[in-house]
Amino acid sequence: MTPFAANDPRSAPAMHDPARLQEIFDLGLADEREDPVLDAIAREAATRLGLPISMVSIIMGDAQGLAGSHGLYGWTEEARGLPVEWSFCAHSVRTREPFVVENAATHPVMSESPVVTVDGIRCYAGIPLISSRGHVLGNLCVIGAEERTFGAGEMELLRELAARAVARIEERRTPG
Amino acid sequence: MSSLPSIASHHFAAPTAADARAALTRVVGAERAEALWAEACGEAAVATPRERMSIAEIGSVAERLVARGGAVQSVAQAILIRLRTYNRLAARARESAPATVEIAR
Repeated sequence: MTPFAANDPRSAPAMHDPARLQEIFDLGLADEREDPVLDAIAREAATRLGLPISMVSIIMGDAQGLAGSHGLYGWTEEARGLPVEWSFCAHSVRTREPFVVENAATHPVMSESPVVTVDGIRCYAGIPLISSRGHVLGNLCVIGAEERTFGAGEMELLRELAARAVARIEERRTPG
Repeated sequence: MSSLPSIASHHFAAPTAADARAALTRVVGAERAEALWAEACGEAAVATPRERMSIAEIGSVAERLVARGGAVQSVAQAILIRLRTYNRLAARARESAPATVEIAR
C-alpha cells in the first residue's frame, strides 16, 4: 500500500527500489558532482531543439537531482533539483518510456504541477537514461515555456544524445 | 507536521523528520531506517531523535546519512534537495512576495 496518489510518481515501486538507488550511487550520481561533459550534452540538446532548458536528471526517490544541465535559473538552479512529485522526468522511471508533453497546461498528469502553474513550463520531452544493468536513472530532457510539438527527427536526436549521456555516466561506475 | 510556514505559491510544506524517516523506510525497511536515523542523529549531535526538528537539524542528519553511501546516500541526497527547495522558495517568498507565505495548518 502506498501513501501516494496514483498520479504521484512516488506511487511506483521502482522509485524506491534499493537496487536502482544503489545503481545511482555506484555510478557516482548521488554525490552532486558537476560533470562538464553532461552539461555539454544538455547544452547541445537545448540548442539543437531550440529550447531554453535541458537537464540530465537523476531520480533519487523523493527528489529529482541533476547530473548535468543547461539554461536553468532561479530556485531550480539554486536547489540543484526539485521535489519528485513536481517532476516530469520521474514518469519515465515508472514507464521506462519517453515522456512527451506538448502543452503542460492541459496535460492530465502535469497541469497542476507548480512548475507548470507557477514556474511556467509548457513543453517537455524526455528520454529515459537506462543503465547497463537495466535501471532507469533519470532522463535527458528539454523544456520550454511555449506549447510545442516534437517531431520524430527531434526525438531521434534526443535518443542519440541520451545514449551519449549514458555512455558518459557508465564511465563513472565504481569498480566492484 | 511542520510548524514552519508552507510555501503557498508551490503548496510545499517544510520537510519534517517524519518525512525523512518515511523516505528511508520505503527503501531500507522500518527497522533499519530507525537504526540509521538514530545513529545519524547521534553523529549530528541531535541528542534525542524526535519529531520536531529544525530544518538545519534535519539537514545535518541527512548529511550524515549521505556519508553511509549506497542506496542510503541516494535517499539522503533527495532529502537534502527537498530541504534546499524549501529554503530557496522560502527565501524567494520573503524577498519578493511575503503575502504568498501562509502558516501550515
